[in-house]
Amino acid sequence: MSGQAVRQHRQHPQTAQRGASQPNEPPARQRNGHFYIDETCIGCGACDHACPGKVDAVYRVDDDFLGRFAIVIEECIDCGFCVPLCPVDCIHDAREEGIIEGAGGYTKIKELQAWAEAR
Amino acid sequence: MGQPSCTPNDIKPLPVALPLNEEGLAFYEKKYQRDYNQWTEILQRNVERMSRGSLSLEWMNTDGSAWGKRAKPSSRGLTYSDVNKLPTSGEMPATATWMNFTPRGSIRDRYREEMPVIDDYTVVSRDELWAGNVVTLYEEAVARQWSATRDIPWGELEALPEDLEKASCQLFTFLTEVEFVAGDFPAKWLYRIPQDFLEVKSFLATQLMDEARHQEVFRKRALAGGGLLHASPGFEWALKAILDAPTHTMGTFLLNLLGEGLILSIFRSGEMIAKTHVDKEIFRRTLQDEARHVSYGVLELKNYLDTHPDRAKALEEMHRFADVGEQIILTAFTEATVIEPVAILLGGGLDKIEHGLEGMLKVWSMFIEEYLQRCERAGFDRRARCKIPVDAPW
Repeated sequence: MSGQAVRQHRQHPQTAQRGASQPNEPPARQRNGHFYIDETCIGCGACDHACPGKVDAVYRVDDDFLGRFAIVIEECIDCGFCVPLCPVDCIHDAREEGIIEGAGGYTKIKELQAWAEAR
Repeated sequence: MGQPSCTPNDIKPLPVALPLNEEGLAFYEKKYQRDYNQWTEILQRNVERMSRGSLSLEWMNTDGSAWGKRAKPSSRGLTYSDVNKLPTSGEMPATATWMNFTPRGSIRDRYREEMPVIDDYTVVSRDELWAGNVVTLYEEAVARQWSATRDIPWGELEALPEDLEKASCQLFTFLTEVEFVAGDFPAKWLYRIPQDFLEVKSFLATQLMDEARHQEVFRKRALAGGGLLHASPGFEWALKAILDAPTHTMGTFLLNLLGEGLILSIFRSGEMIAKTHVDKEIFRRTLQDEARHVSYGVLELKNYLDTHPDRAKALEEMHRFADVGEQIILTAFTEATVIEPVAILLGGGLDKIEHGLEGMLKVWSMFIEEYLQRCERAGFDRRARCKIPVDAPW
């Protein structure tokens, strides 16, 4: 799975339901969050459980062999609780840094993947 | 209910001296002579009260405590983070002084003088074991447990050509050795940590369980492919160095950050190394567990360095330790029992091992870069001192 895919913010199924605006449900949030996880995530999940329970914006990306996590921006409330718990500094605030490419050793797996694909 | 055969008056303390032949039991008994008077007094007090037919009910007295504030679950359930918000949970001390089994948050001060002391609780400083993510990693670990018996599709394991099967069995033999120390290390320190640091002990217990499952899954995989192959002296020395680390933080650095980091790099390469979908599933599941251990190791070291009163001294000590640790991990990682089977699997066969060694160059480079990145995150820059060459020695 590419880093690009990890940076994309999947629409959470619950968000989709809220968008349907059932009569007695609160309106969907109008403002998206700004935090995202880059491709260097190692999949430890510390961020998942740091996310306030009612928010639950962090999820493990389906079908990613590396078990990486992503943030649903429609759910994220920009609390930033997840950021200091990350062991590889892969959670960023797009307002401060923009969208940055992952860097460091954890991106080197792409070289191995490319080598394997070229065989 | 029939008449009890024993009344409170029949209960007596053990005799002070009980002749025993078995050396171990005699030693145990001798050790308990030391505490004999203390618990004999407690026993006699209890017996006297019961004999009088009176009740204590002292345990219902909540004076001096915040008892009565109820813990409320969040939408995830009732997590440690939820209960730790309450004053009744008790504050984790910077230095533990309760060397027994009294729970943090319990009414215990009035009993302090009567309590036994567990001499083995030696890691008394919070900053030698705490990591900012340890509570959430514990919750994640509990949520992600899996079974090596049921969750791996063993019945679908395909037969491989002999060279690939032997390479797989050798790799899984080596990984079993690694997981032995990965289990023994947290076990060694778990019982040296006082109960006030419950959350850390709980996380280490999940690490221990993870490693038990890894030992199981790798052993089963080797046996399902024909059998275990060769033990590795170079790796065994590295594993011993981890177990012998002088402090919890140093050992956690060597095991979680460096050693398990290396294993995580191999597991993350599992899509390319595995030659069956069963092996891919094994790597996929184990890498998620390993990631938590690596994560704890990084932030534990960071916390240790950030909170140390003499950071420069702490850094230099860690550097001296890492100088040795890296050398021994380098010895381990150059063992034929590790490099060659992985190269055969990466290349696709014994006749393609040269090609596989090219792939191993990339695994090596990835491992070193990942390791140095983790060190930087912990505030421990090893780039100038790292004893493991950035380029593989072939």
